[in-house]
Amino acid sequence: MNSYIFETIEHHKENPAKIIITSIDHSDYHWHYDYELIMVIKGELILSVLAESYILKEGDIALVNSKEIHGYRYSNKDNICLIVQIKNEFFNLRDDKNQSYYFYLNSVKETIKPKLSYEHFRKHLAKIGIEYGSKKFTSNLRIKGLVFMLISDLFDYIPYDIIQYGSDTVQVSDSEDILKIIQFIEDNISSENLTEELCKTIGMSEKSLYRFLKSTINMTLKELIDVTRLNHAIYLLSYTDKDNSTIASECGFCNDNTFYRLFKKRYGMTPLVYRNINPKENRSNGIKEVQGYLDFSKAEAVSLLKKYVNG
Amino acid sequence: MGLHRIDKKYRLGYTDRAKKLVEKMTLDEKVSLMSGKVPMAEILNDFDGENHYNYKPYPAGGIKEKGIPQMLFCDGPRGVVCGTGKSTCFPAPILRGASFDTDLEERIGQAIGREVRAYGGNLFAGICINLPYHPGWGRSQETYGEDSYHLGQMGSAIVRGVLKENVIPCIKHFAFNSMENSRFKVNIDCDKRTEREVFLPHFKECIDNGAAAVMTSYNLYKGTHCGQNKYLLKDILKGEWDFDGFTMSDFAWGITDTVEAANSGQDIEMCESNYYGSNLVKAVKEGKVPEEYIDESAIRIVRTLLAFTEADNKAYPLELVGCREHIALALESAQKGITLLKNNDNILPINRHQVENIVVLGRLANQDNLGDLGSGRVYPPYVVTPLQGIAKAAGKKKVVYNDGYDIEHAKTLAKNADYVIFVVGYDHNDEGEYIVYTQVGFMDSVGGDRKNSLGLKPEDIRLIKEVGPVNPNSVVVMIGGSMIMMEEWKDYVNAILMAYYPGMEGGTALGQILFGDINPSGKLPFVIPKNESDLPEINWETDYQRYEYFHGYTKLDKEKIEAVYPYGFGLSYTKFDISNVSFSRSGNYIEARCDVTNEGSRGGDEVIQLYVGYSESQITRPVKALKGFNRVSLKPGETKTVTIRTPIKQLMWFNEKTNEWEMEHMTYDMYLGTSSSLRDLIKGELDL
Repeated sequence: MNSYIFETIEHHKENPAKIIITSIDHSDYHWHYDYELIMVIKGELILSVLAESYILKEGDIALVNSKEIHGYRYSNKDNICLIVQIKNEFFNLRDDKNQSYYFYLNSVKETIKPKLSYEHFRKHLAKIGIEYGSKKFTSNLRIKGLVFMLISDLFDYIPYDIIQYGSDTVQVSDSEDILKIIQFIEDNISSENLTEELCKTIGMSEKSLYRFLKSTINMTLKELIDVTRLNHAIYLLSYTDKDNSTIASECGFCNDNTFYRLFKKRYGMTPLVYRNINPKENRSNGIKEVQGYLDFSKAEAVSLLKKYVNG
Repeated sequence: MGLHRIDKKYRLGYTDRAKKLVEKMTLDEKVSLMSGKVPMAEILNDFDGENHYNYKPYPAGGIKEKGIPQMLFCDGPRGVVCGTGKSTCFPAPILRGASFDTDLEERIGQAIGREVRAYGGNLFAGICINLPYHPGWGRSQETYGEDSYHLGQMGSAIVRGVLKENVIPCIKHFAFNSMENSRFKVNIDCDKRTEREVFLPHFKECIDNGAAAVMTSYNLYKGTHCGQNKYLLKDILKGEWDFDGFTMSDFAWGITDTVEAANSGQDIEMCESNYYGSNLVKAVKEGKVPEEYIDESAIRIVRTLLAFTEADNKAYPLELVGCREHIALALESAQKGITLLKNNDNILPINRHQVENIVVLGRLANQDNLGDLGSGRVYPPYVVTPLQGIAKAAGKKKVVYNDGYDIEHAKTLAKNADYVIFVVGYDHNDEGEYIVYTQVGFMDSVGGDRKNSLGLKPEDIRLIKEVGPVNPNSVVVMIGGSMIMMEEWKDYVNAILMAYYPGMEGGTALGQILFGDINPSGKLPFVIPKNESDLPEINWETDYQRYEYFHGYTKLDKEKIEAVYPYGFGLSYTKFDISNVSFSRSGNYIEARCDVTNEGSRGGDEVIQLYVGYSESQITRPVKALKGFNRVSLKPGETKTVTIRTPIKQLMWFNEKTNEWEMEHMTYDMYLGTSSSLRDLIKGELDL
């Protein structure tokens, strides 16, 4: 799978989680198998999960469940966020691949009251962040311990539903329908009759597909296709030396002009400028550049995290 | 070495050889046969490492150079306790009792026998036939139900099954062991009719069906520990009943006195020599125990072990343990025992083509829950939970689970669901074998008797009462080893199932029943009263308890108290009609006969039950008591004639004055039907 909307999260060997401390500009709708915890340590950030959006403020925490389609957007204040992405295999406590856990943890919109305070989770996440920042000899080991404690706390103190699948059956939920749609768009990005083919494949009329996407992720199909194409373009601009025309055609834009226009509208710069300010050698962490994570001061982040730990 | 069908006659055929072997033994050798060889310290040690209690068969006795085999002990009763992640875990016996299916229990016994052999064992000690005098007894799950006749029939069935694989069936705990927390100290008392008519007949029935070993209980009877109770062991078991096998004590605290135990007829001290061994040799040398008693025990042990060991030379590969056939049997058992108690508006079965969204609530739905974690804990390769089973049966439909801790969230889920299934009840923390931590400190279980309440937990009741009415398609599934009070919440939902502890495939069976792939056919092996005060008085923390003549449904009958659900009750998705009922005498048997018709459109099983009443009796007797049953399978529209034959001597009473079983000659009330309630019975009469 050549994916960017499906975010492949690279974990270091043996580590149960990937830790990111970053400023986020935007991150388009995407999904991954990992469970993702985000805590805003400074500023504000808009989290969208399917059609719902929440403004996360300083100290807010939210959990994005495995395979849940979500995106982030910059609000009006610069932000620093701590993100912990935990491999979903660590949530398979019953050794049952037909089970998936859906946790209710979102301090902005509380669906079910957790059995432990948000304070507890804030403190715990901050400790993980500090260890990550300290790069000590024992940090890795300590992070592992903290992450395993975090997982246990989620199971013990955060309310959850289990979606139980019968064996050998495929469960169909809204979320998975969307995943299927995104997958199809990604796989057929350069096709010119994408809409038609998609409707045929998933068995929906264009009208019902429109209604479905509007109600679930609040986007039109055209917007979703454009975003997907632009993401692919960003990927090609960052990781290949292909010229603009080739990229435009590989991404399924009908001509170079459309590509330029849409790119400029979304990112505020032409593809060429984007390529120039993101030289290839700086692109080791694909997600960071591709998804528009911003620069921030590490020292500031760590001192903010320490405040949470010390209360 | 040929292939022998083991019966008493065959076993007694080994008497001469056993005598000759024992004659040549020294006193030390003879006494060495009379002890287990597993130090309690080693058993305790097994709990610290990767092993567990009885992870391999526990040996007793044996003298290799003289060709005397060891007794190799395997515990149960849910299956074979040995091994980890291997054994088939059948439903708890209380569910198997609810099947009223002796043929099935015999097949389970045979499967267990094969697994015992595959582990290298030769004795199955998991045949618990104690009568739950009060349903709060924490180990009710290990036995088949509250009725002595039914217990005797089910116990005999597993005895016959185990015998088929030439494994020694060991019944327990002899006797009066119907209390857990106080089991080491409680002194049980009762009158002689209660002793003979209520607490002992099922032991006799199992002995008559070939049980070859008896484990004694910890408790006292009339002031003497049952492990060294001459009246029970010598006078009744080996005397009146002419038992040919051997006895053994329960582990470590089963006997308390060398001389008293040896003189009472206790053959083996388990699990190691505390009071036997050198202490017993010394007692014999001092003349406190006659050597002929030692000879008799040694002969019984040698005779039984030789007879069983030489009965065949079959090999039993380890692959038999937890094999496909045995697991299929565990599933069949759960399918036939789970009991449908309520089904208003026929909301069950669920039509999987007409639903999209099933919600499952309650902590127990997502838990491996096979019963207690005491000495009967079996370690199967996997467990299908209720949630997994429901999802499997639901096919491609969405199944969402929540523990129900947050009532508002549960309500939201329930409102949007086609069906709501509550899985509530107990696990090993609430009932089961009770180990005093200061005494042992190794079992991972709290268990014990249900001292405080026989009802559901307050949070379960609250969940049912608040969320049940939100959705008309609300179903409660109860998990537990005995009667659970229902009066407080039963009107808040339209369907109720009792699933007991349904074993490793229990979730599968539950899903199949909920979705109608299997038609439920279990019948309650206990009565469910309206009030706990309808039950016998009992004090769980005591050193003295009297058992009265009446308990369970016979007590409610006598006191004219209506039950919430009667003994023997269970619904089906089809409707059965009973007609042409007749009662007659045929030689030494009563014969009850009827035609059963399946009037519905679904195949199903019904359990036809025979109760005998004693309204003309001159003495105090039950209003009616179970004296026969027969399970019958019927296709839609099919009619079958069912005949139940019961020996007339089953109707006798024990006369304390003459110390004899006596027959009252009078007109007996005969009842035939589908539960113990008069609403479900057709009455007749029979002069005997």
